[in-house]
Amino acid sequence: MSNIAALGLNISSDQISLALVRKAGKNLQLVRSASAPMPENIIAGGNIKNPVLLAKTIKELCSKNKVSTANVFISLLVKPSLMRIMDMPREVGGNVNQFITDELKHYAPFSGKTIGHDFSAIKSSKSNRILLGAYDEDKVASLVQACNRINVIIRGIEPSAIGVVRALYAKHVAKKFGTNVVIAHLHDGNVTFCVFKDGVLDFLKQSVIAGKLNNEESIAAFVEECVSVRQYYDLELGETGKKWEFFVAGSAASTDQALVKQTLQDHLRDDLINICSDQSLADDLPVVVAQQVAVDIAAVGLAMKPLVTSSAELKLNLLPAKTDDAHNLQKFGIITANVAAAVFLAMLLLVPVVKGKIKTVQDATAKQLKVNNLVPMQELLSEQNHYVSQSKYLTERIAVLKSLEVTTPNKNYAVILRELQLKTPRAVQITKLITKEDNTATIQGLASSSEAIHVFVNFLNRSPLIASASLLRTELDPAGNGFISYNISIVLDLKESDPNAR
Amino acid sequence: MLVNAYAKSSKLSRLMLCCFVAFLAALIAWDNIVNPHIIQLNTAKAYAAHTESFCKKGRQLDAITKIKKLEAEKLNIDSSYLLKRLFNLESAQMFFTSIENLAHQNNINIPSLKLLAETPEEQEQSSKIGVSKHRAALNVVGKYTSVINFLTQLSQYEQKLDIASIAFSTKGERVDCSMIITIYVTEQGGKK
Repeated sequence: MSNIAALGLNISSDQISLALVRKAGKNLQLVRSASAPMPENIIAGGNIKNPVLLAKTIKELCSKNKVSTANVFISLLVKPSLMRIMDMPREVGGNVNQFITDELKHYAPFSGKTIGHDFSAIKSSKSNRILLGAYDEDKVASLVQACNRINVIIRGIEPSAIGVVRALYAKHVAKKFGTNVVIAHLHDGNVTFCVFKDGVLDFLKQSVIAGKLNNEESIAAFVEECVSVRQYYDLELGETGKKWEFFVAGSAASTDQALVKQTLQDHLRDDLINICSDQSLADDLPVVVAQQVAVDIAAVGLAMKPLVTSSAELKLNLLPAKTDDAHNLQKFGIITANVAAAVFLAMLLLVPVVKGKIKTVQDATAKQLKVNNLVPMQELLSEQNHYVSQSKYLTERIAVLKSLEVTTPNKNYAVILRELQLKTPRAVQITKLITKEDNTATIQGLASSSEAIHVFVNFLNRSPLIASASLLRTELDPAGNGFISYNISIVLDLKESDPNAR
Repeated sequence: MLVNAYAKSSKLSRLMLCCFVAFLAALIAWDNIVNPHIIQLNTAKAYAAHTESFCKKGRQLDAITKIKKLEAEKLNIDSSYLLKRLFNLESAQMFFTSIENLAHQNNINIPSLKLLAETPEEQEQSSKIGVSKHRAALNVVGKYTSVINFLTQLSQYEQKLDIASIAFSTKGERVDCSMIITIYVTEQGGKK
């Protein structure tokens, strides 16, 4: 149970009592206690006649006392109901539930009714024993449903006697070896005797007491029941000479306590009699009671159910399974819805994170674009294409110009003519010079002697501007003037004719 | 009905149902709330990657363009230098008119100056390369030294000037010199 506080509600035909108990560290604390008379026409003959009205009464009482109704444990108020100790046959084995169901079908008061039941193994007992609780499920279910509808969430139902046992167990029952402890609880005309032997539930008896313990007859009947329990142990079980301690709680505590105690003491002279009154509750309960208030011991015990664990804990929960399932379904639905909502919330929280990342990326992109400050790609491409085509055009043009040998210097024929002028001997005359495009030339002229012609050829061959000179023809001039005509072929060395080269 | 179904269900099936609802909620929430932003984030990342690539390519292209520009400028300088060696239409006209003045300066006569027509092959090549050949048959008469000076001055022209087929003959002190002068003429400015 996750709640740290629990509300116990003890319902009887004439009164409804509440006790809010909170767990503070290792201690239990009674936070609030209250009671109110039960309105008429709600409960009659030990049964709930108007569950809706009872639920409203519970809600009003809780609202009036400002207590939460989220964790409520109520006492069982229904007829027929049953609480008894059963000895389990060994052959039953693990199928206890089926065995109990079969047993209850044969129980006459439950015939034709939907039987709800729960059981709890009694630990430390030598034989295989269980505490069984059974009830008419439909009657209880109607109350639980009515309560759940107005947000009074009932977590557990058990007989009020169990609540009383729980409240008294820690201080008065546990670890009392050698003493038999009897807890007698009067509730709505019924008395329940729980006998503890060495701290373990050993005997349980329910009897009907007509009316309240407010007259000698009823007190005598109650005392007689107590004595019968004592005698059962003395005579049937032969446990004479043992110490006995009696605790009386419930309606008896609210009536003439002194008379009840005196009568009991008269019949049970050697035994210790305790009447659990409102005043003595602070000493009896393992709960810190802040101030002296009227406390219903059963309500406190019911509220303690989710807050204490004990080896002798009688773990009965008579909450109808179908209402428990309905509540669990509601709880499951809420959990599932919360999980779904949490998932949605997680997704919603994820959005700003993703948005932040988007902004970071976009900012980085914008910054990059700003830093690079790029000329539009199209302009760059067209500019590049322009330069490429220009380069191609210029390369082709340069190639053409180079093919035209524009870089070679102009042929300087003047230098060659001047060289010829200088190299020509006095006995030789040049009458004609014809140059050709292949840098060859033919010189024609007259000479006074063949020797002069040969000297001239030798001079020409020595000239740096002339690659070679060869005499082609000599003959006597047909004009008859005694000169010798000649033809000389020369190959020009135009590199040498370059004035810069010289 | 629901209560019965719940009561009959096992813990495992309840857990499975809870998980399924959570999964369904997660799926719906993811699809409708988160996924659009995730798509936007992926798009922004893709855009950023493309931008980075674009900037890188832009820088490369810019560098290449600058290199191409430098190459073109260098080629332009080379081309300009080579073009200086060519006549343009205007300077070509001036050249042929200045030949006469040049001859007078050197005390030589020009009995004939005849421009020679281009052959069809030469015309075709001229239109192809943008440079045309202009040839002229020149005949000068003068003293030998004057003719040499005349030829010297012709060779000192900045532009390309080919002198070919020189044929001279002496007539006493005077020399009769004929030659073929070829000049290369490009379109004005030297640009296409």
